[in-house]
Amino acid sequence: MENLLNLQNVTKIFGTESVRKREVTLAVDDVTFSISDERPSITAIAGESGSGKSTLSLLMMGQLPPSAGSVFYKGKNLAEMSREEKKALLREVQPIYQDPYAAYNPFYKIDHVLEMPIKNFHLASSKVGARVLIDESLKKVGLRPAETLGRYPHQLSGGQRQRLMIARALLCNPKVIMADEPVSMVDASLRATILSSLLVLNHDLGISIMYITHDLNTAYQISNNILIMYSGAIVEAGSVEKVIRTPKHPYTQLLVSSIPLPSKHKIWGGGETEEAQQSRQKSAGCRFAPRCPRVKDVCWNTKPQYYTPDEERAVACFLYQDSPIMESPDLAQTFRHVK
Amino acid sequence: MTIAKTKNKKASSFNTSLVIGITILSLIILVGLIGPLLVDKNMARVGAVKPNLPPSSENYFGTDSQGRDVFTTLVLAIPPTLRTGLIAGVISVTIGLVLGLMAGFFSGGADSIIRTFSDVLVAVPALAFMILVVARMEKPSIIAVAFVVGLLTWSGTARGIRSQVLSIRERSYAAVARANGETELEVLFREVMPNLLPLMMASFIGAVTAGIGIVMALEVLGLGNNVIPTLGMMIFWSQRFSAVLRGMYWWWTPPIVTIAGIFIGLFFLSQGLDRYINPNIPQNQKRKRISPAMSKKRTSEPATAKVKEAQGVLQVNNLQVVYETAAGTVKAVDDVSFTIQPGERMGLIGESGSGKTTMATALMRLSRPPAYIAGGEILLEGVDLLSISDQDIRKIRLKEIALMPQAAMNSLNPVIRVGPQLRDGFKAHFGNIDQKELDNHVNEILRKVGLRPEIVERYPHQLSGGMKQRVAMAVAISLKPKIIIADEPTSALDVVVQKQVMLTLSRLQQELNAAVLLIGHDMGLITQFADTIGVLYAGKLVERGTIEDVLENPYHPYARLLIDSLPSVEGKRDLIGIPGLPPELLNLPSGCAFHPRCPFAMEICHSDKPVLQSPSEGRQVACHLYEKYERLPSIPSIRVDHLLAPSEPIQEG
Repeated sequence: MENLLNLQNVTKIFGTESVRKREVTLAVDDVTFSISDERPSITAIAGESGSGKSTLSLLMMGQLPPSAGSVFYKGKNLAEMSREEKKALLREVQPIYQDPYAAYNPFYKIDHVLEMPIKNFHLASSKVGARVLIDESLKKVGLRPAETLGRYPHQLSGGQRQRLMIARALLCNPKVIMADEPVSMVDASLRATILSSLLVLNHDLGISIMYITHDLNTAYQISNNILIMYSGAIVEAGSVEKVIRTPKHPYTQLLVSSIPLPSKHKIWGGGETEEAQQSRQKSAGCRFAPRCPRVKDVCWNTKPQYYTPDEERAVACFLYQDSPIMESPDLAQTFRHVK
Repeated sequence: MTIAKTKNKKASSFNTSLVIGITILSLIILVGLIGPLLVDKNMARVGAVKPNLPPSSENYFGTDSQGRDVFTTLVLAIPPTLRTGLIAGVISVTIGLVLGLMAGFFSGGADSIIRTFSDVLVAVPALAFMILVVARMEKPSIIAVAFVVGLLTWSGTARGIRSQVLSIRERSYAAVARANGETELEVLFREVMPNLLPLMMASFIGAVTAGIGIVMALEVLGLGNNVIPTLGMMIFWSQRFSAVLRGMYWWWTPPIVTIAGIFIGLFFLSQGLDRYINPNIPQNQKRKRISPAMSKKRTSEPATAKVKEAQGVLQVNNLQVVYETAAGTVKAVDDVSFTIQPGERMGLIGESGSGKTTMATALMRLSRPPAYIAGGEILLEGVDLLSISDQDIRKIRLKEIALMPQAAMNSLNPVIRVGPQLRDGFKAHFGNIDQKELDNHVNEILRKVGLRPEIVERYPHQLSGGMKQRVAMAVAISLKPKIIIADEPTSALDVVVQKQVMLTLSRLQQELNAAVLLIGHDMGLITQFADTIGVLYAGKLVERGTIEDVLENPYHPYARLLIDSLPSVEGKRDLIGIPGLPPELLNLPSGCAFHPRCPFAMEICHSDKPVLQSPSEGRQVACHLYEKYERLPSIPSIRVDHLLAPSEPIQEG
């Protein structure tokens, strides 16, 4: 099985040196997983702000070099790619950003972002050909070319702009789309349309999607599999049905139980303690130990391995140390395969 | 959102400064261009005419004491003066642009060299330096002087350009351009450069002004070229031959008026450009927070407002809040009425632009221009907050009605420790109270919001987002208000911390038995906290009822579609969105504002605004359907493929 994207023990350290001290942030901590080429799927990377999920997406696109470990695209190490290969990577792994307002240069009409990739990646040989491509990609995300082209960004709504960004990514004929919080700045009533555009891309056009988000509701709705990140490390991985419906890692459990559900029958349980957050203890073992309600002695000094308490799931937590340890380090083996 | 949009569009609205600046300057430039062709140049030579003549029909501006015709000299003096400005401006902006781009693009070594160089330049006193330069010249040349001025003044431009380049390269649209295959150099020229245009224009005007000013100053000091007439030389000659003392006003007035005209023109031009580039800078805003009609109501009533008969702790009647924009008046809150009972937790849900934050500020009577309250009543236990004096409302705020704002980091003063900020509220309301008593109070409220007392010594930046929000909560509850307006208090927080903060607010609400109005866009969050809910759409309250009832059976089609569109971890289902676009407040649809998006829209919805009515006990809805039906008929299914095929029309606004 060929892998489209493959991360092997990827680690990213950000160092900020100041006069007084050197501060080091471990943004991504030893991440290994892959995205299959054969079955395009939607994989969510979920976590709170500062968990390293956006850094991970930059590493996967080759926009940041890893501090340790390697990222492979179609079997090629990103660090050893030639110019042409890099350009192909740039085209085939397309980002969609969070802010549909900031993504447009106010100086240009929106046509600018659609014409650029055609020109730079030589996607069409004539003006007519370019126009056909643009029209096609707009229609795929539910926008009418006549009503969209020739306008300035401020003349479109947030939802339209975000769909236009999807159309832009689509033009590049990508294999993977990295969608970093694509709906968090869009109104609730327009969210569904954008998410369904992503679904169409995945189902009908066979594009793999990485959905980077803090919102487990939408992650559950559209994704097949999910990686839960905490403080740079993936603490739980597997199919969304397993990870979100029956979370095993105490952090995932905390996340899921904190979701405000729109139902009076599912009112938040648990307490309001924030004690652990106010303490600034650090753990050399599991990063979640200082906040973990079920912390054990071993957690403070040893990093947990990935255990597989059941199918389609791996969890990095000593609570499950009686379960078998994951065979190969690639978390993708826990993923549910899409038919 | 809609307002900002329209403002951009209306940038073309009449710009007086720009027109004045361009008029004055083009007049002077025109004289400078055409004048020299029409006059007899010999008249400007020394001894060409009889000296010391006052203005006459032959010598329009008279003659000077050396026998030059002043009018002719003036006409001939304008082009060289303008030329110095132009040369200085072009050189300064070109150098500034090139070096600024290089510094911003290469950063690192090139950046520090350029910055060091420009720092040194800033320290050079331009005029003094120029005096030295000119003194060394055998024959001072205006062009050489302008050139040196250009060389001296580029550093500001370079710094400005550099910081703009650095900031724009980090913007999202630069990242998009990279994803579109642009190289860094292309990003610089295609994405960054066009956005530097305003800065370059401003720098250019600045350099032109400096060029003209410095050259003129040198000339007035006698360091000019005695042969070529310029405005500066004319002033120099007139003072050298004591024109003022000799009462020869016709000699010195014309050059001074012209030079003043040039500077005034440049000033208006730069002001006008600034306004054209940043149309959102407030201009001449009327300092009113309440409409004239409302202030009349306020003054006509006695100092102590009458207590009216009112239900609940807070009764809002027909509240109207409008924004005055260049494009017209926008009703952000339109005729909204509701009542909150003591101890009630009401949620107010709406999307961006629905008027929810405008409402929150209006309820505190804190609306600021361009927003003002245009009508209605806000009855807090029967006292109309809109009719009492500024002094009285200050006493009521915090003590009776408190606000827990959206972004706590912005509501806390970053340079003051937490402790003093908490004490402020007590001090303002109780005057001088005992220090120890004050500390006890502060510790008590900190404990209540789940913070440790040590926190008083910390600055806001030393707190986590959740802790800051708790401090804001501590401020809000410090005087045990009867009602707390919580405007998206957790929108900046992660989901785990959000839950903890909301649970604390929930406990405090019970302890104080205060009513809470929780404003937000997250139906889940509001459901978790509130007992009742109000749904806002385009500034109107369209539905009101208990959370259970509204979730179970939403009456208003918008509420129904909004609830159906919520993704949930409870189970996968088809993604259903609301078709169409959010309304533009400046250009609201006729009749019911929701009708263009409504699957049940009838003819009447296009023409008549529905009023809030009560189709069943404890429920209110503003929808024409309920004049016909008791409850909402089943919704025609709107499926994903439906949504994707026909796209919504784009409204021209």
